[in-house]
Amino acid sequence: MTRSTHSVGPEELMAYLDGELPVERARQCAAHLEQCAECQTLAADLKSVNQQLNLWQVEAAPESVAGAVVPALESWRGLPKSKPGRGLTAGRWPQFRPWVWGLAGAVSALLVVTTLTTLHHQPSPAPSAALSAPAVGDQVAPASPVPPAPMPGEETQSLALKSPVGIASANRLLDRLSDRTSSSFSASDEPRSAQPGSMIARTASVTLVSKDFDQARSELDAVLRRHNGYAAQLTVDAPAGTGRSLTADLRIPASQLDAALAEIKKLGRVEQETQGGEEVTQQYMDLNARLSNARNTEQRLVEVLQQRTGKMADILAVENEIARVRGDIEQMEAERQGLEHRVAYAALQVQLKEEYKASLNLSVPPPSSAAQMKNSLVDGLRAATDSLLGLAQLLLYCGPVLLLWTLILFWPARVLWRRWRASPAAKSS
Amino acid sequence: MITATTSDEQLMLDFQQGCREAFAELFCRYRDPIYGFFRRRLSEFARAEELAQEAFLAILKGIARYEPRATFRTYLYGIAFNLLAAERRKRTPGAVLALEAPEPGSSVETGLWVRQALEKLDGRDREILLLREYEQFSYAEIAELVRIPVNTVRSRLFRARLALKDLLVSQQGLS
Repeated sequence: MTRSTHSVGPEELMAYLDGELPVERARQCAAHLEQCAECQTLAADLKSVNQQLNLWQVEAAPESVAGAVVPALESWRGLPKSKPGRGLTAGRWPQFRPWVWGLAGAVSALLVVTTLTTLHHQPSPAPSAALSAPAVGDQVAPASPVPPAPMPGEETQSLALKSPVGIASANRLLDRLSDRTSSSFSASDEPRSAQPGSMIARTASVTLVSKDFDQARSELDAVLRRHNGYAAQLTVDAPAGTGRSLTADLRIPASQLDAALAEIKKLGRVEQETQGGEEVTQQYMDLNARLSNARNTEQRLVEVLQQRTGKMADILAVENEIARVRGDIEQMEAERQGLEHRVAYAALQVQLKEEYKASLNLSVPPPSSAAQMKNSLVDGLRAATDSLLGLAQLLLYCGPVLLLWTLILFWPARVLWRRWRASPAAKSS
Repeated sequence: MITATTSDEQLMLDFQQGCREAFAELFCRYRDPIYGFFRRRLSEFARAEELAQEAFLAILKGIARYEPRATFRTYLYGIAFNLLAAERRKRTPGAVLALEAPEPGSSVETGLWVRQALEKLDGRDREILLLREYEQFSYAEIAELVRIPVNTVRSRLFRARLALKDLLVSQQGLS
């Protein structure tokens, strides 16, 4: 069967495969396709192209896409109420063609002019109701079947892209995206502090002076146990002649930080207290997006490796790329875990000082003069020995270097010295 | 009451009435497709993301003028199409819609061969093919977006598919 004898054209066949033909014509096409080997080949080619096109998949949209949209949505106050013509939708207003609106506008304008002229000729003022005719032009619908799409830069420039305000809000929207039944993303004006989706790494530090150091220390351990925290580092110093001190770097579950801090502050007099919080939501979202992209890339690379047969160099290049992407993924996962831990556990630094009370202990007699003299002699001998040992160490340390430079510089110095001595200037002097 | 079956157009009307939840639902539905639209046509990951944002912001700002005469999908992609055209004009004045070379380092990926073959197609034919294959538009919707007759859409689509088949076959033969 030649192409000229086909009852269905090739483009029609394609339209049939795309489901774009009317039912009756599609039936005819199907019947023809069953009989015609040439058309079957063409159909197979078209399907093959379709399948190969499906191989090109792009990654999902990063979560940061919501970053600029959410603040704009939050700042959106709805359509202005003062202008009755604005925001009225075609669903509630009759759909007239533009020329109908134009005609109505012309008639309204004529009525206004006529009324004004009439009023102008009347001696007494009349209510000028006609002056408040609505601005018809505001409601003229576009002629295009597709509603007019705002051109880029037309109105969107007034909205700040990637506003920092939107970070937490974006997180809220993302929460909503993950749980569509949630009603948290409502039009209600909730206070901005109520942001359950925000990721904040909290830090605090407190410096205390305690009269009873031992009790404060044991209380501190008890507070840690009660609030399921742990000490990342703890140091106690007890130098002579001054009070003891404790420096601890604690990790407390973020939800219990306030309670734990309140209890710790009761352990003594607070000398200094600081609190901080770092918003890591954006960082976390970016990390997640990068991680997702990297995983997709890895998946695609693995598919490439499985499906494609090419040169050995190409295969090695793909394998290297897979190894690199895997390394990136593991690094990003570690970063993400670190971030999650920083958010889950607040860092609390505690410095506890003992209030030092000097005591005059007269029960221990001072050492005798002979003992003091003996101690001084021993100290002097020890200092002399130390200085001799130090000198010996210095010589041993510097000796080889000095010897080396002496050997290097001796002969040139000697030659120079002899020449200088043989010179007339030296003789005259 | 917004459900998964609420139509896009109804959501837009609800949004006009002040229901932000409706916009959030639309954003959920079209975030990935719109991003994919730009991602397939632009080489820069970040620029695709920004333009996807701008498309939704344009919806937000133009809500007062929205009228459900066509599907919301066509309306949204009309905006995206305009943004893309403006982006192209900004970069290369007078240029038609064209695929850009992939970013360095992203060359090894599934579909690279498809992308390379698509790059060799005529710009207008390619755009119609992309709209059909990846955005799943009907012939009539493509005609509305690109503002050409439906029969022209069909001819160009057919031409693009055959050309692409030849290109893919020749590439596979080389590999």
